[in-house]
Amino acid sequence: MEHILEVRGLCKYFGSTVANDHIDFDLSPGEVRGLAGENGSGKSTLLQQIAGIYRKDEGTMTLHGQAYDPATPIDAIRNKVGIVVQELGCLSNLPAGVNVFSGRLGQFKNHGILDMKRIYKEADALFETYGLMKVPLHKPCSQLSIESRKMIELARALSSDPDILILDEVTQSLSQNNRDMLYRLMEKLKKEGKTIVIITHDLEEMLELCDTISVLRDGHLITTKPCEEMDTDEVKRLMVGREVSSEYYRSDMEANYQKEVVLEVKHLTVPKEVEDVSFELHKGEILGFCGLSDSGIHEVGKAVYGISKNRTGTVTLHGEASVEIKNISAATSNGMAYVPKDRDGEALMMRDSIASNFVLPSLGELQGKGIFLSPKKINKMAREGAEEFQVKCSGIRQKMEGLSGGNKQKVNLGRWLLKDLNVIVLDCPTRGVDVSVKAYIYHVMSEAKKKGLSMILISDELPEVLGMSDRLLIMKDGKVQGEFTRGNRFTQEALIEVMV
Amino acid sequence: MEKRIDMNKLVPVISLVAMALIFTVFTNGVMLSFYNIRMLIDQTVVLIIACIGTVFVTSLGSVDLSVGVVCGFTAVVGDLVYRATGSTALMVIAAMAIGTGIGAMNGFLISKCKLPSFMATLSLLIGLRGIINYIQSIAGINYASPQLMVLQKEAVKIPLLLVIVAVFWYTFEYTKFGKYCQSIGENEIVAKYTGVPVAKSKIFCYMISGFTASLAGIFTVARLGGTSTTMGTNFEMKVLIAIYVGGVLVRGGATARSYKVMIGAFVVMIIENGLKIMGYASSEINEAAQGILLMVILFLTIYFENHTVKRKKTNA
Repeated sequence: MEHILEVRGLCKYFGSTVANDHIDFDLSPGEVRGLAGENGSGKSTLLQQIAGIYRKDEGTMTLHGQAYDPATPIDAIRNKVGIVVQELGCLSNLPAGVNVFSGRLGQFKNHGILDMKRIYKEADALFETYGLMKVPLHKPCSQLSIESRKMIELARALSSDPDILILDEVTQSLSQNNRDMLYRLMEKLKKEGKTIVIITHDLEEMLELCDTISVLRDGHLITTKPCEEMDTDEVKRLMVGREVSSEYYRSDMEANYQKEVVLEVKHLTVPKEVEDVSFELHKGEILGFCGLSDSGIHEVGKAVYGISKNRTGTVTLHGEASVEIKNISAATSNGMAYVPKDRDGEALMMRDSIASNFVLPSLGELQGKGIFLSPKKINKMAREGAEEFQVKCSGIRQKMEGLSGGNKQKVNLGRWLLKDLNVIVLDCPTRGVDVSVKAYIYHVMSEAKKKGLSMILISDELPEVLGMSDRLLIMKDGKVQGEFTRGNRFTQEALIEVMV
Repeated sequence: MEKRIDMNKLVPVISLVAMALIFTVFTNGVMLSFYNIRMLIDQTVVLIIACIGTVFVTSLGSVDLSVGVVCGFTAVVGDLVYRATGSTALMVIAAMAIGTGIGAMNGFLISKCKLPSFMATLSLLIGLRGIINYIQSIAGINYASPQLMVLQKEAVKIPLLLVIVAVFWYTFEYTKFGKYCQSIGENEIVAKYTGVPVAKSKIFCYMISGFTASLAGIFTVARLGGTSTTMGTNFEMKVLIAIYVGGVLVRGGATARSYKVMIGAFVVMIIENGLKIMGYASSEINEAAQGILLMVILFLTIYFENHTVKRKKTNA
């Protein structure tokens, strides 16, 4: 079969780092290709060069038999190469509909004035054609959920009717129903002879969706093989370069926690988001929350931690004395923590140092009763923390934005676990991290559980909540729809039945 | 561990040395004469005092445009108090209280009423100037309290300056409050979610800024020997430019540091002073040259900030 894209000897350097080292990479029409590799192996870099986000340093690319060297993403789109990037790429103050066509608004000009009606109409038609989840197109992107923003980006990539569609960790931001939608869409595009390249850390998903898988390691393309010849263990082995144990969730199949109730939530209601949710969290328990998009699981986390406005109902923390958690400061001062889903936007100070990020929640304890905050203590805490949680960095003064997703998340989680906590709310703690970091995070969670920490685990990934929770609450339309306890009927099929 | 030189930290130091060198050469060494250095320090005192307090606000990623007008307003009202009571102590206390109070109001409007800091303090800048003019039109211009002139003595002025700088330097660099301010500037949502008392911190920052503005007002009165309607005009701009020239970025956050604003204040004053010694006292050349030099330094600051960030990001 003719190749639609041929990449030969592609190299990309970032300073002294070799991100892509002489990569040969071909794509055929109607092919679904998966790219596997650990964080920092160069997958995203490779695809971003194809999509015009980065300029290649060496090598050649041939598209439809012609030399191809896109200078900008717009350039790539003109050549019918569309990408949805891993980190959220929307202009947050522009309406969603405008974002769909950003960079190409010229085509809507009518005597020098933008025809807004036509923009919204065509955006709407686009969502219709591809069967994407409906998004309020008039709202600015900043007011939309991560999932809706992903839909906008997907629509933007699809708007040029691309021959090559690149999806860089898209499914991780989607809930089950939208994942299914995306799978169907991929099926349809494949039938039309389009080429799709996906990156996902969920290897089972990748094996199911793809025809062939290319594995990258340290900037080298190790191999490209048909999916039939591989299984997850094989892919993992190729990614890491050695044998990895396939078991990373909890091994016990019994619920296991103490009787003592740590957190009591009664009639929790947030207008339009959460409706009358009540539950108890026990000492040493991992309580899972799952549901489809807009089921309210993320909002429950925010409401429990005191972030949501107009919250009604009570959240009571039972320790030596019972305290009602009315706002964030009550939560933090009583040993509660919250790890948000939007790591770069809501959890970490990207342009500040690792040290600053690490000590931020502990500044009160570090200063103690005195009026002096010792830089020595700060550095010590950050250094020990970075070591304990195996953060790969050039030093604690390195800026946060230079770290890979997995290492960012280790800082994000580690800084809370250093503290003496009672309850931690984890919203998608393994979003955008690779298998080895994922395994590490589950390990850390299990250790914390043993020490008696109670956790609320909110996740879009069913295997994760199933793998880690003692009890599971399933939500739909802001309400609790069902409860499962770790044991026999703890399967994806059983959950989905209640969820949908 | 690889050591990288952070240019953002180096640019202010380089610009200070460069400006000092350039003007020493162009003024044939007059710049570094004992007499001139004394004068330079004397001229810089007020600016430093205002900067070391305003940097709290800058670290939030906000601005305080009311520094100059608060400086003038507290001086004028302090003058009224002095005339009514004859007490210099009461005058100083009143000035400081009013400055802090205006700061608290600013902070309240910005944190609780969610007014953008630029707009809130800009309207104050215009409104308060009107009140100053009104007061002066009725009360007239008066000479400062003779006791206040003590502040002009170097033996009093310099130690006082050092104490003020030490207090705010310490508060900003070595307390959790200072870190809270930086974290709010870096990412307010992150700060909020990790339990930083955002609203309280903001109000406190503006109170500090107002307080130091009132101190600057008191020192200015002592220096000028009286009040005037134009006192503090454009002073807020000088404060801002000193802070930015020092290498603090408009977004604040971790780029806001005490040493940077000290350096920035000296750079601004060296340029002004050097141009005067060279004979360009007239505003045409003086201000144009100042503008160009400041532009160059700011460009370098931003250029190196972006440059280092880009390099670090791509190393991921």
